Amino acid sequence: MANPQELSDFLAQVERRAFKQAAYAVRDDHAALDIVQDAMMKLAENYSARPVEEFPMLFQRILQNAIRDFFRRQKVRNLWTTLFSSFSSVDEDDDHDVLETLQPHGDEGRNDPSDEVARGQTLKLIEAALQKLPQRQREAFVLRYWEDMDVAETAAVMGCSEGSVKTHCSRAVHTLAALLGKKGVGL
Amino acid sequence: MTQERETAKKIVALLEEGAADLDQATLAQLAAARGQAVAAMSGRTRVANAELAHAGHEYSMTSFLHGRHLWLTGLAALVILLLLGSFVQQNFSRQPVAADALLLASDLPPEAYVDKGFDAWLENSSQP
Repeated sequence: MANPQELSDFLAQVERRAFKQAAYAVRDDHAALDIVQDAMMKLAENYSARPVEEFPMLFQRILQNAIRDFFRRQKVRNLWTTLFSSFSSVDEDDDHDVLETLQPHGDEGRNDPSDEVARGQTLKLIEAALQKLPQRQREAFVLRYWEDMDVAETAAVMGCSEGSVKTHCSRAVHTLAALLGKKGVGL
Repeated sequence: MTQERETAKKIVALLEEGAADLDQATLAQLAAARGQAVAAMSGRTRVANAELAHAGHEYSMTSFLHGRHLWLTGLAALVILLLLGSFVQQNFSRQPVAADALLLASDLPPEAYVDKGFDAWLENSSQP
């Protein structure tokens, strides 16, 4: 059984990545914070009796479920919004490309590691590309490569087969490389 | 596969930089959320310990009451047995005494009651 200090250490270690993961998925920092807070509370309330070694898998599972719950609620909300706003004109462009709003830096910037602005720009491009990925591909990519889980662990968290994980990861990396390549960012 | 992994690693390295560069407000909110989760866990641990202690107390009380209950049941059974015995003794011991007194006080001699023809005579004599 983990003690409060071990939980605190674990959460301090994963909270930033968890927040970023949620933010990439829901594209809203406030909602992402709520999701991470919800996941932390659920881990503390429901799984505090588990050994600390199980926390990474449990937390990722809770986090992914919290993100899915957010989308489910969003879907219901959108349905009502669509029903009520069907009589008014819609000016919003749903096909808005996040990548279009970002300016790629030149080759000289990319080759200069001291150029913080250029690096920040590259990061924004990557984050925008990550947000454009299909949900399952993004999940697989983040869990497999960012959380450094193996294929079996990723499959367990995502609730799918190991083959599906490999497929999602491969497609995610190729899509990201292609999206970034279009913007002049080579990896 | 190796190329794919290399590309992924480069992307992840940049993502790590982004995660390390979060603004102070977000970091403060994350720290607050973490604090709440830890407090919830500490609270649950305290409650669990209290429940455990309470359960132990309840168990000892139950054991005590259970032991007492056995004693009380045994005592009640003993009292009932004594009362029953007393009732049986009183009733069954009084019956022969009453019969003896009736026989001795009767006008007829005791032999008359054991005579086989007495019942027939009594029946005939009682008919109009």
